Amino acid sequence: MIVYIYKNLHYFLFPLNRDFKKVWPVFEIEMDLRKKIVSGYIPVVILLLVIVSLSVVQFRLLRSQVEHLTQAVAGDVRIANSIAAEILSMRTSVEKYVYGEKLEDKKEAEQHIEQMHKLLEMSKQQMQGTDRLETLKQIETVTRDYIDKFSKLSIRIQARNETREKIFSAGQTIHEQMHTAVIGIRRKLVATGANGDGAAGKSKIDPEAELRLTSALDTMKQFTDVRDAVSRFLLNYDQVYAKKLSDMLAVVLKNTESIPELAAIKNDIEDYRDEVEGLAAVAAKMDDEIRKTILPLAPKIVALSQQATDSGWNEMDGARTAVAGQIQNTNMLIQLIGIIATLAALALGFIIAHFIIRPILEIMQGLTESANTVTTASAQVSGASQQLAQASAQQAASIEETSASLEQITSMTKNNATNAGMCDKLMQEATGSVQEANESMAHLTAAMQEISGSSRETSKIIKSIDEIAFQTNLLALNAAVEAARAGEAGRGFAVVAEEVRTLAKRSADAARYTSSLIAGTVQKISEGTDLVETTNSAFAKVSVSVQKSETLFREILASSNEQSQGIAQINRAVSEMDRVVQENSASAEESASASVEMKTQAVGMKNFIKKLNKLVRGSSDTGMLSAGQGYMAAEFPPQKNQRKLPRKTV
Amino acid sequence: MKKAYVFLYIIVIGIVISMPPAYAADGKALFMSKCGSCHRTGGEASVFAPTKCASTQWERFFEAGKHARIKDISSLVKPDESAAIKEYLKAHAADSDQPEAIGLK
Repeated sequence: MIVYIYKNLHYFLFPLNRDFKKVWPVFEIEMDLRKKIVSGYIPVVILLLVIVSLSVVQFRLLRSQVEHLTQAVAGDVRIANSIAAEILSMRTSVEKYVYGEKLEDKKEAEQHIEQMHKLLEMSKQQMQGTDRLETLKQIETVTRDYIDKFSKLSIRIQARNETREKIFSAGQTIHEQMHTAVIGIRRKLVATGANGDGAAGKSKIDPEAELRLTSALDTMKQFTDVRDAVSRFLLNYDQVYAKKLSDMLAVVLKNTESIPELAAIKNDIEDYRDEVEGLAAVAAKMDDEIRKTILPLAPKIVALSQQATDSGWNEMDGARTAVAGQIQNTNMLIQLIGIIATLAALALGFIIAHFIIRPILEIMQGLTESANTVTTASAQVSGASQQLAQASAQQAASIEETSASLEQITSMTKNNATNAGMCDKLMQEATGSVQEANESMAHLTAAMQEISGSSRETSKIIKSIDEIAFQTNLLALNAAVEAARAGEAGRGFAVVAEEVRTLAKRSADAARYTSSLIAGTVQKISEGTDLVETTNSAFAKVSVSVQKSETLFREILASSNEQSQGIAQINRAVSEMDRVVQENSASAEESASASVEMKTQAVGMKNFIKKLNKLVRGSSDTGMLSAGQGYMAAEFPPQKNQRKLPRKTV
Repeated sequence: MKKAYVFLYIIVIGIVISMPPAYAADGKALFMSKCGSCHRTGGEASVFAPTKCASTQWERFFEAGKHARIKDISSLVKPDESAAIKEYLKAHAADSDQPEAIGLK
């Protein structure tokens, strides 16, 4: 693969001008544009995601570390610092009180101690580092010791100060007592001297009393020295003075015992000595405590708090180094992945560009051809449309004429249909009349037959009448004969007989006439019957004809109706044709304008193709598309036989 | 049951052994009751605390019988009680390791 890429490096570097199918057979993948772009971005996106997730993970780690540092470690350091600061304040105030012994300093120190208590309690709850918590416990122990020592010291200071006051007042009292005693001794001495000789008084002074006075004065002087020494001792509580003081006071006590006047204040001096020694002991104890405990404890606490702070700082320093290393590693990793991602993005960019540009170039080729074709076609369409418009106009005129004719035909057909309908009705009426006539004929025939029968009956009756007339005649003859025989008597009768005979003759004549009439009637009836039959047959023929006529008229009516429907259909068709023609006309106009638009669009399309080409290839030269250069031409040879739209000939 | 008694015995012995010397507790109580009978607020004598004096002072105070100079309290305080009070005061004197500034009321 690597060798393959190396050999075809120039193809890879200039992918647009090469036949990719030869260079990239592996990468000829059938995918749509979206998939191509997406498939190109996916690896880059994955790498980016890796970078992002790596960064996120690292930043979270860093954040947790920083949070730990800022919250736990920095908090511990802050606490340790505040402890150190408070210790310094406390120490300052304590030492201020220890050296200055002022009440306000004591109060301040107590406030700081209270503050320290609170701080320690709070710190125990808030401190998080194990080693620092351990240190804190040590600080607490030492601090409690320190505070304990301080409270004891303050007690001692108070006690010492009270003792000091007592020493001062006692010293004063003793001094006054001594003074009084000395004055007493002197007075005694002076009194003794006054009792003797004034001039030689001096020699009479009691030497023992004088010695006592001297001793008393010495003792007083010694006590004054003691008080001086006490004052000096109280300046700085130097234990050297304490020892001296004890010795001096022992001497004073001894002297006091030897002087009876001073015996009364022996106990006071003893008490004084005890107070001074007690004060010295307290001062020594305090000095010891201050030197050995209180003063070293404060630096110890400070050192411990410093230790806690150092621990925090060390942890922070370690964390900082770790974080720096981590950041460097992450940075390197991200840079590495970034470089890989950049290279991958570049490579994929080339590949995707190829995969996207090649089809676009193909499409551009096709589009250019299409644009050319469309330009030609649009001209053709324009001409065709104009012709079509003219034809449509002519056609519309013809259709209008046809439409008018059809309207006339329609009205005529409608008249025909109406007439045929009326004829049909008339024929139906005629059929009814013929049938009625037939029936009448049948009745007539029957009546005539009945008449014929009646005539025959009448003929028989007339025969009977004739016979009767004959008989009557005979009888009249007989009667005439008889009447003749009867003579006169019978003359009337003979007349009657004659009359009867005449009547008979007339009857016979009438009968004969009637008979002949009846014969004639029968004859006529017979003829009438024949005529009726003939008429009947004629009517039958008429009926048949009428029926045929009716059928024909019905057919005519039906035909007329069908014709009417047909004409209506034709009408519709014509109107449809008219509409179509109008539409055609409109379409032709639209086509004409569309062809113009098409032409414009084709020009626009060419411009777009030029722009696209510029976008894709970086130059607006579309020559390569038709010049047949490069791989495009090999794949898309120019079409020799351009398809032409069929031109309509009018 | 036997075991329980043995256990109880051990506990009692332990408590007795761990208890401080009898006079210390007694000393404070005696100090409060005996001394406090006169040395109290509004009392015959003024109030004081063990830190009034140093240890040596208390020693000398008792040895020299200084109290008798002001008032004889031998009928009130027996010698052993006096010793216990002295030990208590010395143990809580101003130069002692446990100075006691809160005394009688």
